[in-house]
Amino acid sequence: MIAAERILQTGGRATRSRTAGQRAVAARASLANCQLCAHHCGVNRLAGERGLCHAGSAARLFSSQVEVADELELVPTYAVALSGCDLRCEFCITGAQSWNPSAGRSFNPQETAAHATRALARGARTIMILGGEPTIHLPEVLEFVAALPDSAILVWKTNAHGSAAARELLEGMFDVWVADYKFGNDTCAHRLAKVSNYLQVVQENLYWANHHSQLIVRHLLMPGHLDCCWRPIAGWLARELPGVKVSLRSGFWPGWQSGRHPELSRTCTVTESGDALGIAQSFNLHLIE
Amino acid sequence: MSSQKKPDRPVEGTGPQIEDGPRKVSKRRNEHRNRRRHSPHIDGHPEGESHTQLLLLPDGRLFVHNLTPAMAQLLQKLDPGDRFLQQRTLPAPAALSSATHS
Repeated sequence: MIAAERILQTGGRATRSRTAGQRAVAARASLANCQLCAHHCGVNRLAGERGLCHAGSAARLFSSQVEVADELELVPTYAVALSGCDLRCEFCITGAQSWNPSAGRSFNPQETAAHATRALARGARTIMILGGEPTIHLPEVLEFVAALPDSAILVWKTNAHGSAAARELLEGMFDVWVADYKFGNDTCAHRLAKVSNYLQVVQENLYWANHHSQLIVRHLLMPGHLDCCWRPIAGWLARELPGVKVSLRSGFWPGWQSGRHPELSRTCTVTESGDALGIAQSFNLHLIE
Repeated sequence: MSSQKKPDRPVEGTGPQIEDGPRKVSKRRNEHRNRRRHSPHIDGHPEGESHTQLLLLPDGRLFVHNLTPAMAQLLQKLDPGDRFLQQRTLPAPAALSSATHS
């Protein structure tokens, strides 16, 4: 069951929506020296400067619809996908939108919140915000949260590459974090996503998310990366976050620029998927579907 | 980045299993769109469409991305025994199905 851990004090003080509205103002101002992700570019996005994510001051949306393929405890979910990302994963299935923050249409938080609220009334269980990477669009994300009912169960789907400043703005806003743990070592992370110091940043975010919300760690099994990526991830989760929910996804799809890497030019084999499951079981991970 | 951020996991039981070892994937990528002419903003999509992407492998395995309730129901009819689809269609209330299936 999903139990909300959020700001919801009904004595006339802070509610999640009210707090989100206040933080949105602070988040907007922070774009003058953007430190939202762990790249810490420090650019002034309000003045038109662009950092590694290339995002400007306004978020754009490339998908918003009810979906059912996420973790069972979250679906049906109303999924809102924002364009742009701070990583450059060459196997990204939404690479065209994730690498391009100008993709899609303009994001109107209030309008989308109205659609999401309507979806809840029709039977959606949760509202999920994702990308790209939503962290780089925290001002609009918080405006979106501010326009949602306080009772809505909100899911933050992230690459777990956010900064401490971002986490401070996010505290108490989302009931569930679905956080990707993509690479089991910094070499693969740099080669496939052009990111440095990956492990330290992701692990820092996972510790925090596990403490501040419900956490689901998602790993997309990559062909040829069982021993270098999945095995060390599984071991770390077992050791550092025992009992955490783990979602092992075996449906790698050789999309976007996967062809640049020979091992990523195919799907995972049945044997690889079975072996990955065996690794999870050997570490006694709490797998969820 | 939330690369591969959506589940896009294989639908189990949709055909023979893939052979072990590297092989080329023959992609037949389809984008499914349900137009909802009468309620264009019912789920917030500007064109009044919902989107599911499918990857059908030569061995019969099917991968899905951005699976909507309507597409889950359709696929479940094609393969009623598939556990993944069974799990994803059961909790979807009728109102949601109609919301993405004009």
